[in-house]
Amino acid sequence: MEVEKLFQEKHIMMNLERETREEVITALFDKLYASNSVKESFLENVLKREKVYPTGLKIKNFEIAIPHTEGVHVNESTIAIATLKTPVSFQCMEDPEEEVQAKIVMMMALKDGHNHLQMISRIVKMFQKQEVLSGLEHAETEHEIINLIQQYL
Amino acid sequence: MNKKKLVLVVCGAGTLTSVMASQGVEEGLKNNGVKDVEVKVGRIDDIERFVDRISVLVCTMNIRTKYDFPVIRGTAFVTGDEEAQEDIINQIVTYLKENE
Repeated sequence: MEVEKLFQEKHIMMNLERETREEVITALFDKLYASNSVKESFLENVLKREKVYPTGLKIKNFEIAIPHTEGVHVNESTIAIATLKTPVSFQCMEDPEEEVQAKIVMMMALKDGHNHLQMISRIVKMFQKQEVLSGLEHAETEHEIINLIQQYL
Repeated sequence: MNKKKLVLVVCGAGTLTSVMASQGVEEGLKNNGVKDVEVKVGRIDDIERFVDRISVLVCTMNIRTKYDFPVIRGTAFVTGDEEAQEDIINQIVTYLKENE
């Protein structure tokens, strides 16, 4: 898991316009598949997982989603990020009967999380910070997002 | 010979949220001076595999099955809700102490 590969401008989409969570997930997958970061099987498995184990989260003032699946469908660990023009609903991880209106969706394509506990912990803790989520929402370029992440990671 | 107690932490994919929760649980148990407990990360299918050894199950998703051991939601380790995290650790520590 190389830090430089984890966050790349080409895996970031800003003001993405999609109507459903499936469309958002597919758009993110398209980026990761184009760079050969994930296998074709990644999409179907993320969609399947999302139905049974939803990834919508409320992090104080922000509502996000972190779709992902097992590492076996990943070629190279990386994280795709989309900020949405209009929030898209995802079911809540804490209570699948509830929905969150996600404005930021992060597709975590991690090859073997078990061997990178520290790094994963750092990444998730970074995304728990209100300043970081606010920065993501208000960023105007992909470059700004990369800088923000580098600053806080 | 007493086997180490097992706290199993599971999520759907076994890759991300369970990793976060297990880190939080391990740290929390250590800070509370709890020893002789193994914290293991797994997927939902691992519950059956370890069902005879589990003392506490921590999960980041909804589990409806009733077990003999407590099932505690660990999503607070993913959202960063520190108060809720403390609450989870206290629940685990209390249960382990009461069932030594």
